[in-house]
Amino acid sequence: MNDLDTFRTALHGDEDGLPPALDDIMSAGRKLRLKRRAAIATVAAAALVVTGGVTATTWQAQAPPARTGAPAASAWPTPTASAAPDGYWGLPVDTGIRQRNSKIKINAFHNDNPAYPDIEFGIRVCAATPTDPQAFCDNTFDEEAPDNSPGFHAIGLPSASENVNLPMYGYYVGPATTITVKSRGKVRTAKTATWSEDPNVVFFWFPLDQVYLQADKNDPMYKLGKVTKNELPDTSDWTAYDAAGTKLPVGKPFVIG
Amino acid sequence: MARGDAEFAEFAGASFQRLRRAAYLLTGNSQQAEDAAQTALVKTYAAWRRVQRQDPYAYTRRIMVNHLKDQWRRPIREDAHEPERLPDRASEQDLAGDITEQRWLLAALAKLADRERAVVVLRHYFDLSERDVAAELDIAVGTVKSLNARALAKLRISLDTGEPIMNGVTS
Repeated sequence: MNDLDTFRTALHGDEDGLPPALDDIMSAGRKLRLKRRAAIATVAAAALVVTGGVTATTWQAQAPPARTGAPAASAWPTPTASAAPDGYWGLPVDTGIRQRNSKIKINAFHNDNPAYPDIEFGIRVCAATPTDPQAFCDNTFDEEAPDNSPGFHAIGLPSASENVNLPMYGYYVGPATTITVKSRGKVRTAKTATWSEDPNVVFFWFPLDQVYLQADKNDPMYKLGKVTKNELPDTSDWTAYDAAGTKLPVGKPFVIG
Repeated sequence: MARGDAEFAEFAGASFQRLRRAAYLLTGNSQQAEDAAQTALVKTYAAWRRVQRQDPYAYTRRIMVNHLKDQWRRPIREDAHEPERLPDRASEQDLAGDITEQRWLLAALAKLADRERAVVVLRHYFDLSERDVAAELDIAVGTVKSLNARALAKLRISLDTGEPIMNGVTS
């Protein structure tokens, strides 16, 4: 045993002790979770109050133009006044998904959540009704910086309200033209669109019938053909390709939630 | 009990002592270590649905190290690196020299700069690769190598790995 081995053994020392105060930890964790959600809801609600009634321009989802070797986003563009309506940062993307009288759209937002000072970029998927562009939304953003490094970032789970289902969605930084994931034994390809403010940021989402939550057959919503609150989608092998079919980096660990 | 709580309880029980030990090595203060480990678990639980399918242990470790890194930036560190006073007189259980060894260890770690100490703990306690340490601390791999070599030199520990030490950087 050399000096280093002895040192390593000493580092491990006595790892016994009292167990964690689980009740306290989980209670504080629940409060933190609620606080984060409340902070996000407050930001979105404030934007809606200020800009109520404004109809934002949308652009149709389309395949990103062929780009190779595009540099990774080095810094986020400054949100402009024209990007402010309804909390949008850049232009919203129409996913093409329709739910009753709602169009499902994706947009970026500037994250002002003080609990995440290093995270500027957030993405949300919303059901837009004729009277409310963000009638029902699901927000997500990275939990750890950097939020603009090459690779996958925040990925939102499929979700549902009483009237609409929202797809699994997220963003990738890099020249990705194809994004795939393995779900329930099959490779699924996402729909993609580049962000209006930076073509190196790619929004993606999956058709509702391809990547979805494990159905809870006892949930009354299941009989209505709705997404039900149950297990996470079975997803693995997240992969991005450029226009030449070359695999792009997965990037730093990302969270799905 | 909410969905996932049982899994979290199992995870927390299995990882807590190791996290607390690492925090203790990083701070030299048992109360601060306990707080850091619990804070990391609180944040992990808040995001449990998201992280449980990834690598929750790596996530929690990263949260804890970041939490302690934040302490570095504070102008007043509230004795963050002041080793606790250990008993002057050996107890009956000190026959194997455990306390003496731990006293030496804390005193030695206290001589290191914050980043050197973090590199040593991540590299030699968590057994992370130099690349992973670099990612965790958001520094270059070369910096990890030099910090590690410098720290071990301060601790008067010979690497004895067959790798030459040149200019303070292991190749």
